[in-house]
Amino acid sequence: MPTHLTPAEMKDFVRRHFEDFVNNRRADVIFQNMSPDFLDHDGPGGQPTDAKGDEAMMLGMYKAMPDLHLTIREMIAENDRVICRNIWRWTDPSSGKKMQMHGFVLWRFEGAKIAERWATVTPPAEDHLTW
Amino acid sequence: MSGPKQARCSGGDLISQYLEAVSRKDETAVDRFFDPDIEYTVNGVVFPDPASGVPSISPDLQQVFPWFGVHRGRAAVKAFLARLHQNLEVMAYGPRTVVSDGEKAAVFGWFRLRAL
Repeated sequence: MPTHLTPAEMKDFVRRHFEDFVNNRRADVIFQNMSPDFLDHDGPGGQPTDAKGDEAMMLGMYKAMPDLHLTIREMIAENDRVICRNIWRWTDPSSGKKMQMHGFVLWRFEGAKIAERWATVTPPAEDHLTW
Repeated sequence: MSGPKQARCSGGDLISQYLEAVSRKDETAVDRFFDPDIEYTVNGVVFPDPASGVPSISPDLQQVFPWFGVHRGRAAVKAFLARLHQNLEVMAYGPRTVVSDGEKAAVFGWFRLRAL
């Protein structure tokens, strides 16, 4: 099923999803924002998973990275797809070090929901920049 | 970029053509597809500019993988690709999604490489 959303609407959708799912710690929004047969090709451990698997991953990240914050640096959209370039920042609880990793995410929309996700991230590294 | 054919292409088409050319080790790819002032970042930079949001890599990592970092200008990109082609051969590549939006384009896909 194609999407009826415009590229601008898809970008807004992804922006809201990240804000709620990561920054507002509302893991449950994944069930509203993804299609029932949502497939994440690059879930935890690089394995495919569904919305439930991604919810479990985020709940684990909230615990392990209490101040986790995602910033979208760039977003582009065309047809039924959106690609984001993101920065994830957090404080490592055991060492107190500021950490960061960078990610690219590709989303495919169906109707008004996200149907598929692909992602790649850099290894976590110490963040020497000012937050 | 040169040539009337390329001037009519979308950003996504250009990215696809560039990747095809690089996979074939086409030495003309850099001159054909890149601006003379190209800034080509591989993985990250040792001293990132906060405004760019480019990932940081440690100096140790760059020492191990000297091709990581920023390559500025066509000559530097050619040197990077020549080094890459001396060490790696593209055996296969697969599903690529190219998204283009105004002056930006991004590609998602994979390469299977063989060390030479």
